Amino acid sequence: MKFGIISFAHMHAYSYARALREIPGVALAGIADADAERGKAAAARFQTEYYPDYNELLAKDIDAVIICSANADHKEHAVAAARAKKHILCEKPISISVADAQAMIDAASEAGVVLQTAFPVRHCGPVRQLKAVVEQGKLGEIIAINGTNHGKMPPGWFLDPAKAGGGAVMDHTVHVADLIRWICKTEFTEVYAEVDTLLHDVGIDDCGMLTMQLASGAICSLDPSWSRPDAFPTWGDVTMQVIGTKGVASLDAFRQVGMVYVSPGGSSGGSVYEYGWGNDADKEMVEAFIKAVKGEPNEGASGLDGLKAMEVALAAYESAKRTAPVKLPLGVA
Amino acid sequence: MHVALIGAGTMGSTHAHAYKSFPGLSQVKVAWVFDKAHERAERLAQLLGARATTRLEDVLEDELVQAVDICLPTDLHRPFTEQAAAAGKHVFCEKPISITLEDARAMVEACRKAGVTLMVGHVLRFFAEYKAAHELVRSGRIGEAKVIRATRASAFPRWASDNWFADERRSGGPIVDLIIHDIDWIRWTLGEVKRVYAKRNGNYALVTLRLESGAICHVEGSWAHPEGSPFTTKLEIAATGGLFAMDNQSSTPLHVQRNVDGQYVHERFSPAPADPYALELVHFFECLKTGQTPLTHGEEAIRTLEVVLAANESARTGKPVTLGGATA
Repeated sequence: MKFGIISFAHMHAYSYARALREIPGVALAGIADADAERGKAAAARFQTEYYPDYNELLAKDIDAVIICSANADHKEHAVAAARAKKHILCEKPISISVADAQAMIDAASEAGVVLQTAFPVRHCGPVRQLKAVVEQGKLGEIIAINGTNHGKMPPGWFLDPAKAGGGAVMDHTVHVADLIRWICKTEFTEVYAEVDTLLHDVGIDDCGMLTMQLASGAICSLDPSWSRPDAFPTWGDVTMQVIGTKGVASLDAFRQVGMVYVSPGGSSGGSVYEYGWGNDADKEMVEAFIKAVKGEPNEGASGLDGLKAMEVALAAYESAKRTAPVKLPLGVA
Repeated sequence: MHVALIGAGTMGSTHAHAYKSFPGLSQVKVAWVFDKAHERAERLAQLLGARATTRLEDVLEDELVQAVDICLPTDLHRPFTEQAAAAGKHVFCEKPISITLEDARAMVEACRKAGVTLMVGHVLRFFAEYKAAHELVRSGRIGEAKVIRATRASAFPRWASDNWFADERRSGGPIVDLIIHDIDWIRWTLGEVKRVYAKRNGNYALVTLRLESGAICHVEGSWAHPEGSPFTTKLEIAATGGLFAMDNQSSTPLHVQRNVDGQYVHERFSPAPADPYALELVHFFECLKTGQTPLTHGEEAIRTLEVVLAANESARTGKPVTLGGATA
């Protein structure tokens, strides 16, 4: 199976490209990037072809593309890929509006190609274990979930509202929102949020606090803030406290780490960072996508899953603007 | 200084042990232990060398008694405070001050009119780790606090007499009784609350606070953990110049694992540098001696109560509540 990657604007592209090179029977046939310097460097690093125009890449004999452009560009790239009959794995959030996401889903459906949303956290071993624990009924009925997806301040287009469609809330709501839907097999019906720019001098939201109602009756909250300082020993976290009628589960998805202590300046100084040894979730997500292309059962997130998760973030912004809870689904605005 | 311990349940017992063994309380003589159940009163009275009684009048008529230490279920705080104040006794009252603003205001007014001191047991301010966190934030060493997360979680407190925590008309429920601790700490450390949004599912609560400073807080409270769960607390402060994080599970310095008659037993120990329940009482008696106003005086407790009641209102109505009465 031959893959192309459209844009390395999102840094996850590097991990997906690495994964493609490690999966047997898969080739990375080319990289398209409007940023020539970035695209050429990536093509050289992953020993593949560079195309300045993504249409050139789509004209090649490839089966699938991974789209890692800025959020606002996902729709253009996905619709073009669908029309070129390429299967699509699209970086999260799927898009920046319900209308654009729906257009992507419709284009893929009309072309008869697979569209998946890149939610690698679904494929993280401890998360799958949590899902199994819930499905085995060990917690009883789920009554509440308290989640976080913290991060450090990202660079570049992430801070441009026109490109990113939102800041921390857009970037970090979707992972846990997807996990909650996937694990609980239910939908969000209402969102309330406080959203603000408090931690950094930037022109986009860098923190927020979401409270959600699920159709099942469970209540949830989610902290998507870019609130980890540079000194934090890792990129951030995904955590979930799941409260059930029979038990409680606490997940810290990326806790499978050792600590590294480096003393460049002698015994009194130095730095601390985490060294992960958990499973390769990015690679297993790409493998799930490959199964989907082959028509095999898989746990990848669909385009609709991507839309539903993004909708929670959009509702959070609307709620913060109105200082009131917002009902879901939002519908096409 | 003579004091009467009012209530010989779990908290009364905690206070009794503080009076008995904390060096800073050696000047305080517990003269009476009152409880409606005589055997409970008698047990603590024996420990303290005090007299046990089931008649409040015994305490109120004892002119040597200058203060009462009220460790009763919350719904009894108002009548006991009013009677003690009317008898000219200073009042230390367990938190929450009450479960309605009307009762709380009546208590403050009764103490003001009688010219006696009222202190409410917001004991978290006397816990070493929360005091240290307060001082760190106030020092400015991590910049301005912007996103705060707090957790307080346990199994349902079934051990209480008459299971009174289960009756929300008596306890106020998990927001009013449990995470009032964290909300009081937030107010103490970061200032007043502007807006509250909360959801509850039985004995589990998720509360979002927007502070006057602009900071956003998330407070999780659970009495929904399974029986036998370790009591869990967490605090995290994301600030403009850094991050502070602590939790009582990962900072537990001593774990003891055993097998007792075929059953695995895991015990966790984290000895407090100084008993916080003793420290708050030391502060109370110090205030009585010097005439200064206690850190957690009645008005202060009312302001914290306003926030937790607003959270309950938000959970009930599904709408954010702006403090000052208006619903946003």
